[in-house]
Amino acid sequence: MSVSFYWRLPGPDDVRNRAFDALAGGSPARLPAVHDIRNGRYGSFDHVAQVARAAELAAFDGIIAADDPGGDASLITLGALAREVRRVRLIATFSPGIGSAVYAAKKAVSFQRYTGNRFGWALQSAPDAARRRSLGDFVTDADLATRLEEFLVVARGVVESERFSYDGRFFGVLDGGFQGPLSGRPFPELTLSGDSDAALAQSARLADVHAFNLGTTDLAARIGALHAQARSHGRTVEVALRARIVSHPDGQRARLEAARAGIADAPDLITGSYDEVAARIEALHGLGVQRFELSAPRSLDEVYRTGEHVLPRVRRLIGKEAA
Amino acid sequence: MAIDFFWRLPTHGDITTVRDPHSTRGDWSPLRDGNQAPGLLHGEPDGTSYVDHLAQIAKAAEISGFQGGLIPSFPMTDDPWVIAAHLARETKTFRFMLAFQPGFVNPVEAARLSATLQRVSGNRMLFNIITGGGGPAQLWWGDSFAHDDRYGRTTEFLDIFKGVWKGSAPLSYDGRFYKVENGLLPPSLAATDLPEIYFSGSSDAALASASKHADFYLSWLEPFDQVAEKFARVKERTAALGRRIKCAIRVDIIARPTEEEAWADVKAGFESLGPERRDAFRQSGGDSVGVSRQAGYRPADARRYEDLIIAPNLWAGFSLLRGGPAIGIVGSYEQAAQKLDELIALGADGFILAGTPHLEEAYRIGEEVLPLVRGRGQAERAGLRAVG
Repeated sequence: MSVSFYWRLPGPDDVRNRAFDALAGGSPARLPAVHDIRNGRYGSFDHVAQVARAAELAAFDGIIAADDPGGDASLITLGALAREVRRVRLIATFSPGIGSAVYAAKKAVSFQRYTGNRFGWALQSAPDAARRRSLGDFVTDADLATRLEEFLVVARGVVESERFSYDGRFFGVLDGGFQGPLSGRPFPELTLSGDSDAALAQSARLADVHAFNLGTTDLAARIGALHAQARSHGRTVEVALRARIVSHPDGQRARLEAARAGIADAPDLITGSYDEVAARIEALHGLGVQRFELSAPRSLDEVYRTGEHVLPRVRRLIGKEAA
Repeated sequence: MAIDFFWRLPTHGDITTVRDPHSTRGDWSPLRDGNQAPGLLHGEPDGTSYVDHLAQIAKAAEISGFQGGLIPSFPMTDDPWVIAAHLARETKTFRFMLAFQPGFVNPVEAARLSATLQRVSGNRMLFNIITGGGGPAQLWWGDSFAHDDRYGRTTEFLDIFKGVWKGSAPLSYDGRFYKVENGLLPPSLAATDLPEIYFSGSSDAALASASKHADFYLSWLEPFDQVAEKFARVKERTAALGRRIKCAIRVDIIARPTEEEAWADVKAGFESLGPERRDAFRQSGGDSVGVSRQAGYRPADARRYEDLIIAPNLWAGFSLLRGGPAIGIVGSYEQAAQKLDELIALGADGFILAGTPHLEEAYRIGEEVLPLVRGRGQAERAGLRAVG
């Protein structure tokens, strides 16, 4: 069973991002003793772009931009990085409440055209209804699943056929469908998430990838349930796991760093020495996780550490297991 | 006051020369040997795509002195947000004017996308707000509001878009088309500049909406007396609301060292069109008032290119050579600049210019025509001298 590694780009909670935003906002970053010639020319994007490039150089398979209402819009972030990373896949997280499904699908087609079909979607809406309303999205909890499904029907319809009509409760289109060079592009790889029975049932029917959070109760059983339901639809769904990672040559130091970041007891944390972290990842892989979606409080440092020291160990462990 | 000059990014391919209106840049027409940016080299994928060609044009425009460029959006084009994001980090001063129909993204999400683009580009985005040509095209996009309803929706969209961005407190808004409850951009996004708004639309409903929210009222080029009347109406209407609005014109230019060369290129382009191609270019703009005003010139019925000369240096056959407005400027560099000065005197504060091919013509217009534009005070003084 293969395994792939994706890196989640740092967002508004990232310490360096906050520092660079302050720098762009004009806050003096240095005492006057240091002659500072940056003059507001740099912002957090310059840092995020380096992390994205680091993930590519460190042999990750893709990068993921989250949809954090406190931070940047994923579709713009990934567009701005797309020409600086040439191999990794680009996964944009956003809500089907963003607007027209046709319009969202058209953006996806332009991404596919410009990136050589490396673009994917991770669709999710804010679970809290008040938060959704603050984003101008008044869909009820009960309608979330229907809205997501209609969004996908319309988006897939206009990407995959040149003449498509649909009249649903949330989305509609008449004689739509992309033509000419916009036609024939692969629909974005679709990641859905959640650990409720309903979420698993929806992923079994619709998703290419289903993402769990590390810390999900009875992960192995949930993975089994997902696969069983997917099989009943004649489909397969790849299992992904979202986790935060803090590694160090010395396991004690890794735990100290996690404690400093305030995540020592977080249920989604993988921490320890390179050997410890690799063993944990290999064990999770043994439970059926095929894709790891990792992030870290020190994103740039950790993406290199993971790529240089952890992933080679994981690959060796998995190779032994296979042999 | 200095005039704002923008260029245009062709978002569904480009043409090598106006003399032969067959698209050879991009992948919208069957690929031929020598095509630019088709993503293929000697028939094999080469890792490039059409955005590499757009990057060339954007860089040509910024180095030639244009503020930026319009990024049009139609069913067959690539998406302006994706284009702007892709080009943001490899251009320096180019401002991205996104053609955008407010119905297609909810206003809070649109504010988040826009503010992120402002962050990544250093406040270089602006809008060309279009409320839609209507008819079948709107339903293609999944949008079915009637014409005047759409302008009401545009007004609400911009109320919320600006409110969640620059409001001093979370915005709650309960409109006919949009609602939001306690919406506000996070500080890192809200700290960016609101995009300037160029607003298109010729109907009364459009003018009412523009009067409230637009910074620039944008019109295709029409006969100059109509331009003057339209600009006067827009400025009067916004003044009544206590706001000031500027006016801008989107126009194609064929400028050459001599007028004879310019008309020779027009003639060659016109004569390269077969009757079936002219039929294909007959305008169909749904319920757009602007499109029907332009279609009144019926360029597809002309037998000779001269039939379409509606005034000195104004030709009404541009829509035959490429999609878009019919009337454009044809002449020597001096004549082209003089036409621009005449429009400035009639109230134009900004221009979106275009020429075919967009890459080379960005350099040519920037080098040869823009330096000859005198501007408002200068143009009026020159006119007085000529009269005196």
